[in-house]
Amino acid sequence: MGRNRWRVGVDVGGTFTDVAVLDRQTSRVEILKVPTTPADPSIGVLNGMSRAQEVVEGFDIADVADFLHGTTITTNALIQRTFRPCALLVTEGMRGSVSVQDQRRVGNTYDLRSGHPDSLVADDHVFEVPERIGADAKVVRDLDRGAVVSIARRLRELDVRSVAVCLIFSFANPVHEQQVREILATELPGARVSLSSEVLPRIREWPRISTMLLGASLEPLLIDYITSLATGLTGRGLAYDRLFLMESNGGLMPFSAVMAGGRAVHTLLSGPAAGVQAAISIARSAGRRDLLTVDVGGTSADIAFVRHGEALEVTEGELVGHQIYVPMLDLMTIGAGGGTLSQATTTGRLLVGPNSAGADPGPACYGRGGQIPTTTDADLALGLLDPEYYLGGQMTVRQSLAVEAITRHIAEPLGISPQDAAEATLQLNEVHMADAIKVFAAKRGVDLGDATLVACGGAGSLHACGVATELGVRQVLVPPFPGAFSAVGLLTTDVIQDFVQTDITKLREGAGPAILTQFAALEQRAVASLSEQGFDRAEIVCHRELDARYSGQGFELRLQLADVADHDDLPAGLADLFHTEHARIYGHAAHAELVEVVSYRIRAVVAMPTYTMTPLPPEAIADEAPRPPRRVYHRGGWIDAAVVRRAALAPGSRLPGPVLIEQPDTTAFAPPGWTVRIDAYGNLLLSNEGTQ
Amino acid sequence: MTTATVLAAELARSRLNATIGELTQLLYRSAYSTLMRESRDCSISLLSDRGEALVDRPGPFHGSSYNYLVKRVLERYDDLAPGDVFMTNHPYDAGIPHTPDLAVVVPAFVGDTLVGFSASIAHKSDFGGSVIGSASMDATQLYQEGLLLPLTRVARGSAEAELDPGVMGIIAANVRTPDLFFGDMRAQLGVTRVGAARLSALAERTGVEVLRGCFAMLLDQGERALRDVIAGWPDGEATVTGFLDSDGIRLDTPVKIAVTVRIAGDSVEFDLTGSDDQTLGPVNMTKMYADSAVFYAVISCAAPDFGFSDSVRRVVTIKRRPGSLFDPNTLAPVGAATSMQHRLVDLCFEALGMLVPGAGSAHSGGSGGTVGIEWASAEQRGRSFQYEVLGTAMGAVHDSDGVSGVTAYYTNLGITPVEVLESQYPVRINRFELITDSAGAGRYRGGLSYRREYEALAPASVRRRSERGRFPARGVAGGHDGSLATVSIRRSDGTVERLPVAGRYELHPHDLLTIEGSGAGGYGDPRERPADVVLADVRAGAVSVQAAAAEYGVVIDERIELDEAGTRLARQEARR
Repeated sequence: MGRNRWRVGVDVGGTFTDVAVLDRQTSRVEILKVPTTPADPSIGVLNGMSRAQEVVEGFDIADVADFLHGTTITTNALIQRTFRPCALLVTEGMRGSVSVQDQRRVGNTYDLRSGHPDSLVADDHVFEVPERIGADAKVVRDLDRGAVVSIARRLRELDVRSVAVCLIFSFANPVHEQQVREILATELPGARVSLSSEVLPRIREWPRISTMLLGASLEPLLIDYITSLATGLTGRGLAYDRLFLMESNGGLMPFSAVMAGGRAVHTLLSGPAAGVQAAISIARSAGRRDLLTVDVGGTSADIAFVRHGEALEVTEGELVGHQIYVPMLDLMTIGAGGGTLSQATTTGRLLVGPNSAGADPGPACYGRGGQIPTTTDADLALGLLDPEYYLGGQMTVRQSLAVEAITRHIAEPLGISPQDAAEATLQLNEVHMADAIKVFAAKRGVDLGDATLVACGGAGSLHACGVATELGVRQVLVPPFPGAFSAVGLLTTDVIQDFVQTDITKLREGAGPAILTQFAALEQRAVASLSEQGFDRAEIVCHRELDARYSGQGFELRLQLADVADHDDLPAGLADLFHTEHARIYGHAAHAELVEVVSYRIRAVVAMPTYTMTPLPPEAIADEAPRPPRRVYHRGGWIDAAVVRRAALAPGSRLPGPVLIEQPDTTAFAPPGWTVRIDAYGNLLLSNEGTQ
Repeated sequence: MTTATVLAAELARSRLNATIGELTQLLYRSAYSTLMRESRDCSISLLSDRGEALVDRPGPFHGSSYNYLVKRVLERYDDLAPGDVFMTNHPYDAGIPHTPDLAVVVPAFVGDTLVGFSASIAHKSDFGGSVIGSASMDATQLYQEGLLLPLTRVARGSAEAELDPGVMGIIAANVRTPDLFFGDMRAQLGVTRVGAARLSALAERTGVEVLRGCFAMLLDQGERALRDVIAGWPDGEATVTGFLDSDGIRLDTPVKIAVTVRIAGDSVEFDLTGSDDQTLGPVNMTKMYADSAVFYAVISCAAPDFGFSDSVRRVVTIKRRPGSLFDPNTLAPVGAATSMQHRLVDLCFEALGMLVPGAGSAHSGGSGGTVGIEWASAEQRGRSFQYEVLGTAMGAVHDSDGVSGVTAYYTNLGITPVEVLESQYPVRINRFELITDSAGAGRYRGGLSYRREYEALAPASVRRRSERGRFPARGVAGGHDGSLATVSIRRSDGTVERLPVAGRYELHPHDLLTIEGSGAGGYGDPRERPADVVLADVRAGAVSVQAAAAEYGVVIDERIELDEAGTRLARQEARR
């Protein structure tokens, strides 16, 4: 194997950069962590590679077959708004699409200040272009080229480097957007110009503009980052065409696709999407196909559903308050994590979340000035966490500070004991999470009855059984590396890229050829794009999908062409599929109504080799000395919980609850009534035996 | 206060919120008609055994109905039993917003003990009456607004009990689209029954008595949250009056609304008795509707994070005069009360702001109303009716500009994209933009409203429901008024007709219909608005150079830069 022995997944988080190294010869995976370097995260990534060279036996960067990367660089820039202002060009008269958005106020409607989400473009950076395309794709009014030249001059004065062009009905006829780009190429050289007819040729102007603004704002910094990372990696001997970035849809794209433009909007869930892929792969080896993944970090928890081994996806959603219409894994974020604040209010309530102590000052037990207790403080106060073994003993935490904070801010005002106060905090936190999950499940029509809860993130496994109990879920899985989950997920992912084109086609008799022509054209575009990225045509598999609706309805359902039963009469076959899908999701179908296709989609996939990963090398089953049991406060009383180190557990072991299983990046808790089993892949399988 | 109850109450709060959230999703998903599924004009709630709403779901609008609805069930029936189902659409008999809304109530039991109620309200595509859709702008009697179903027990005995065939037969004989109606009704009933089962399960799990204690505590906490704030407000009385353009029937007669607020200690009274007598047209408000407006205003000023629950009724009293707009007594029509709702909130905020420093806002642009266009040559029957809900703007508050381009207050509805409208109807939208200078000037300016220009590509008949053609959104604390709403048509021969803001208009191909919403009021003296902020407004197109000088005393030169000396002079002169 030699030169191609290793696959490396690198996920950059807020604090740590996680590196997962897969040895293709042995299928063994090793994990290591280096500090993230926020000013230029590529330094941390390169440090991680150097570290791997030092500690992983036989590892040589030059022998890496694939470098797979997950990053939150665009998401962080969006949250912190650290990007240069972009400009937006819209059709003359249509400025209202930007200022009114979709007309809805977001946030608390009792707060009279609540309005539209903050726009990513300043009012004086929005320009109107005299032109018009009609719904029938015909030119209603020619483009005024002189006006575009004047706009370009103004953009030069404003020193704008990134321009989004989003004209009405450009998805039906891109000619004016293309002409605008030609003019800007001459008049505003060096600027990045993105066209909505290329990035997102989809109907509905505001969500398209919103998506374009995200892209135009974030793309320059993503490209700078990828450029500098690629320089560093190729300088160490990696081949440029084997560098890949994770997309929000749970697939990979090569760095060259990022550089070609238009892909920044597909990277906002790069990190969490990899985590969901890891859950799918790991649970598959454990024979589980219906999952609820719960990734709990310091400030929040990410939730996703997996049905029949596939993560649920959306084609339109909202991130950090911005509408974004690209295919993404369907993730929900809840404000519940290890740093979630808890305190009694003046009205006599116990308020848990959604505010968080964040990394600074962090929980009270860190001794960095945090006064208000957090869930981590409650964990420590009740014996669920060992103060001597926090982050594997790398960090000092003080139980006395945790108890003090709980006493002052919860126990005393409510007149209850600190233990009861701490347990109330934890119970409320679990119920809040479970309740948010229940509503999300109802929204998506997901039945959690037979699901397995996959707990990851540092704070995920301590309360997984509590959340599961509240949800009526009886199985919990804690993977071997819950704290470096996204890095592992990167190793298991294929190249997946999505292409879309709106063209409204009514599903009447005789529409078949038009539908196939649309697919063929879009497929050609997809194959050309992937070929340009260096993939062999023979390895590209195109899946044909479409968005359809009852004619005139306000929303669409996504269908797979492959699911059509009758391909001889395609319009009727598609309509039947739509009725069936509608009935499955909404409980009924209107068979007399006309169905129409709104958008065509191609999902282009290049399969990566798959591995059954063995994360636990046999020698890792160290003969750790047995730990003494610990007093844990549970359900209103102190109980003795057994304590074991994860590394000391051999596959096949079984342990009855109550038991605490400690490892450097997390602690799992099986309450009384739960049983823990370790499977061949090192997963902890916790199940509720129903004796509670 | 014991441990168990503080924790148990918080658990109950979270579980009630989540369960109502789940049920609401079920209601959306199972709905048969597109109206219910897409407009989402439906809600469900779980209430205490005394009919009290406990958490801010579904919020102030339908939320204020449930109390009347369930109290009426408790008053009228002393033999409630598991399996009972009650239905009504009656605005007066049971506090339902308007006649197209069907309400379903199912009591929840543990054994023989009543533990609470599951209740839902959902708009139906038609409930009989003189026009399809039931709510008509032309109605002068409630009877024209639909079949009236007083509160009626339609099932007894078990959770699977069949509905009373007599009552169902009467409904079937009166509604225009019975399939759609009963499809939606079955979905609504199913979800409401699930709600009752969930509430019973919660009571069983928590313990019936403990859950009762939790309900009491939730209401006490909500009450305390309001009283703690209101106790800090200065005692006093303030009266404000405002007008609607008309009641929709007597077009020349404005409708007067008078609101007197009295703050005393830790409670507030809203006295609406000075308002006009009930009107012939359908702008009258049932009690629940006026409640929703008043409660929204109080909660917004006192406890926006707590939201609506029936605790607010312990703290806020509303005085009404029988036979007047807010307590009509002869089955007066109520189907077009939306514009009244916005005006009542405007006035409540203004009155509160006169007593409580910094509270409330300037007036909003009001309800932006609706525009319905019936196209003559659409290719399909039933798809030729274009319908949009338009927005206006929010008034300025003591520390922020008003929000532009929204449906004000708790209406919060979306707008249909231009590309969707043009793909479906023979129309082209040439302009969709905020209107320069539509906002009332102020230290903080009001929100701007927007303009839509529709070019007809086929003959059409337009039905516009709107107001604020005569009475602008008032500025407060020295802020100026917003602009008025307008409607005009530019005929293809170039003539321009200015038309009343509500009414019917005929369009011919290539006529241009322009609809402008009214801008919202400003807060505080415009001459105190920092000159650089006014400059930014000018650059953004929110304020014209002329208005900057005339209203704000800010002089902007032809390069669109600030003339500092000129501004200083203009502002000094104004002060003299």
